[in-house]
Amino acid sequence: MSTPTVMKLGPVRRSLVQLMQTRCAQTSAATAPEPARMKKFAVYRWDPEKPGDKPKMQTYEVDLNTCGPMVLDALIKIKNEMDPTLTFRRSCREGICGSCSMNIGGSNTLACLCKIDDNLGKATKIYPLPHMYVIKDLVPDMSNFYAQYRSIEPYLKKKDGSDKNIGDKQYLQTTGDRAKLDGLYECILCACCSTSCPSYWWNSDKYLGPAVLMQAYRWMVDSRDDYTSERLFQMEDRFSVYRCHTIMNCTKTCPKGLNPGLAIGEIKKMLAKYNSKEAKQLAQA
Amino acid sequence: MAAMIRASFGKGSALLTSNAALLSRLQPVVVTQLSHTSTRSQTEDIAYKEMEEFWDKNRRLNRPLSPHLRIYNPELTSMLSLCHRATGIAMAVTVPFVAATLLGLPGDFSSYIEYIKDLHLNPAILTAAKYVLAFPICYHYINGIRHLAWDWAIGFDLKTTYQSGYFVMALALLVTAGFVHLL
Repeated sequence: MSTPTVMKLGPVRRSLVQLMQTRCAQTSAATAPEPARMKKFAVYRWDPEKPGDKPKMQTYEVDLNTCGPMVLDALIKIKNEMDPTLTFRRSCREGICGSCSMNIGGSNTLACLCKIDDNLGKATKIYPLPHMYVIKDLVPDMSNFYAQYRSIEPYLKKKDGSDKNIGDKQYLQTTGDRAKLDGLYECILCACCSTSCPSYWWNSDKYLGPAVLMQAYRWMVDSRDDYTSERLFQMEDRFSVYRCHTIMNCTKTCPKGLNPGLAIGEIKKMLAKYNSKEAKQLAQA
Repeated sequence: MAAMIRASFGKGSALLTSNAALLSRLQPVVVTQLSHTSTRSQTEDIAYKEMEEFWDKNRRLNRPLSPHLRIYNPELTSMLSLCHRATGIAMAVTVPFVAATLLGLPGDFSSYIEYIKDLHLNPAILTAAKYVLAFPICYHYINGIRHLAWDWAIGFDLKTTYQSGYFVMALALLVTAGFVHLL
């Protein structure tokens, strides 16, 4: 609109039109492109469909100016624009589902919560979770981990027969007892902690690992569950709990800030204190 | 480990095959070694069956194992734990060995100290040797107290773990220096 036309408008409309004209001028002036910030990502690749293929590292360059801040954003950008064969698990992109757990820069975290390191001089190394069988690229076989979780029976077990009439009555719990579950129930079973534990690397067949043990503790310490002694008795062997040597890599690496090491310490304390003979009789009854 | 030795005896060229193939032979001998096998619930039975299927399937498909030691960040937690284990093994091996050797050899240990004195070694070498001898026991003892606290579930949160870790290492080095230079 020309200036004479603008000046004939009422004050409100005039100020609005002037604002729009200023903004358009500003936007058209700012079309000079920013210099591209290229970051290197070295990603572990292995294709089971290629006969005789050996695992190797493949490097991709991503412009950080056109990419979201998290490593998962970079991986998705690479898959969309550069290499559609790159394979990885992902779902919620907000750190709650546990799908995108992988080893980034030497530590296990969730890719959707891990900010890309701005240092353009260093390549970010991305590996699958350590000491796991690889299905393809960054996808490990989690079946053993899930089977171990199943083996601890991660559900409420009652002795008073009330599970025949489930849903009739609420199972009451004091706020104090509910507070005992804080820091335990938030686990998303991403397996970052278990696969950071060297003890789990060497004994993943018999040692349950921090994630599963923390969930076992979560059910032992739940006041509504009646099978605490039996759950403790299940751990009475050389491997299930006692391969833990308090290395504490688990607590260091947990992307949700939980403390599996503490849970295992508490299990060991409970194992020392509970009445094992009574539990054995109960279990074999 | 036992599986590796068995594999190398059974097939002569096993050690020459690729890492992946060798590692895939490291299947567990017994998956279930629990004390309550007689009273397993149905859920547990399904779980252990799934575990056996996991090892069978991955061995059959010859899948590679993702890298672990060579790619994982050395953290204070794991490095101090490794140091504890290394000093423990070092002492458990050398102390009985030296004691048994001295028992068998003629003369008492003071004659051997004289012998070392007569070698007129560079004092720097002797000091270094003293550090090497004193550090394991100092570090293992002080970190042992940290472990005892953990056995009572004290000091497990990450901040305390790191603070106590730095403190233990600093104190161990200090006490070692004290032993070497003051005694």
